Amino acid sequence: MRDFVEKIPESRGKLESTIRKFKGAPVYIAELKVFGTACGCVGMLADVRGLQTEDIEVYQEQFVDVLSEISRNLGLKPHLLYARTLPGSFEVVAFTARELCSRCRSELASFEKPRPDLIILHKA
Amino acid sequence: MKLVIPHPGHFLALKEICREATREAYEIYMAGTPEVLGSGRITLHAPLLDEIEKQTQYLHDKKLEMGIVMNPSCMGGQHLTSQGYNTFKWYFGKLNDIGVDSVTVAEPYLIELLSKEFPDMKVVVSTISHVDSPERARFYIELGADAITLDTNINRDFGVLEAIKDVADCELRLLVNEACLYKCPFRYSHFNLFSHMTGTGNKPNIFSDFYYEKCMSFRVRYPELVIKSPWIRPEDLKEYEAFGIDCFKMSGRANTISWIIDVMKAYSNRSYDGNLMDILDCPSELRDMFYIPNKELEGAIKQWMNCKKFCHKCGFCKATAQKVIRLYEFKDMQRNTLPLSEVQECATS
Repeated sequence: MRDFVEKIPESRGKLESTIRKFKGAPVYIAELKVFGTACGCVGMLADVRGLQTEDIEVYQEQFVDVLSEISRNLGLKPHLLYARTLPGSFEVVAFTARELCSRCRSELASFEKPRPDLIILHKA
Repeated sequence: MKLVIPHPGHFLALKEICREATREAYEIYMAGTPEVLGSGRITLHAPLLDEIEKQTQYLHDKKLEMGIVMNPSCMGGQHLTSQGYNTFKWYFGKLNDIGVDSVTVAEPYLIELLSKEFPDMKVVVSTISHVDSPERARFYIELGADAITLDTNINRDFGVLEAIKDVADCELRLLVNEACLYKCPFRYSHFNLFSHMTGTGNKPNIFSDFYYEKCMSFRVRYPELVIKSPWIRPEDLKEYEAFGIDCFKMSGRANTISWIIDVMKAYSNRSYDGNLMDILDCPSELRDMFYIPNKELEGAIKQWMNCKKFCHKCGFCKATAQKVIRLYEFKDMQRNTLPLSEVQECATS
């Protein structure tokens, strides 16, 4: 169990340093959490600073690669990878890798853009 | 030198701060009762009058002064209604009876009200009133200000500071470690948001603090903004004392007790050997991203004392950022630092 716990800060650091490398600019992952929701989803959520929607457009493939790798390393098999933006803003504030419950599969994975603030990066 | 120290509001914090209080500590300030009037910043504790009374007495026993900060930038016009006037007059009267030493407000009307009705309490103009010129200082003095906390945007504009000092026959305070963005485009809007979030009436159910998120993101993308932001290093206080400003206010009443004590000690000692980010308030979220060795900024004040604030022509802060800022990197369960330039040069695609 302790090994798993130690994977969390390692994953935060890896996500941060990988994005810095492919973007060639400072990026900050303030926090990375592994979560379980009341509806039955499990996943990983990373709070990010310094990215904007155009970064997602340019580096989408790289984001998918690193989020997939980190999720796998944490034992997750995410159905959905997405970025969250501030509504009405260019700021990207979080990445989520999520194993979806049946309800969220229908709500989040059925459409290309299920909510205006979400950018779907990858669907399994 | 006189230091004005932040206090989160609960009695335990006050006792700990007082236990560590330095000789320079002069006034301890906390937010007032939010049921009466909000504040320009996050307020973590809601003291009622009897608690303010006990804490004021405690401070007086320690030969320290109590300041109450009630500085929303927007009150929705409530202060100009009969009910608002009666409420504020009643509340300020209670603070006066309790023996509170100073009240800090941002609203010009409240400055005049306090000055006229309660001459025994020191009336302090908040930094949120944006006093950034001799003329504006004179307006507030005319309204009855006993002290003015100057706009942080002029912290490094020594010409303006000296000119204000020339006309102001009241105490001038400088907020040393707020470290908001220089000429921040969100400043007014953010203070207004806090005013409504912390005040009476309907609180907006916001989906996010856009201004804060944007502020952090700007700094991550443009690290030179951290250098440009008008903080004052503990080592540089003497440059301000040289022309007569000797009252320095610390920002950070939403921080932890130990953080406040560490910052108080750094400014009292006029020296801090560590990461500058550890003593700055606003960008404290980024203290685990940026490492800025404070001692490597020695001498930068000489440049800022003569700075014309034309960043596009100067480039000093940007060059300084490149030279001194390091980024934390977490790998193999250890934290190391990398030069900023190394991160900026390493794009692989």
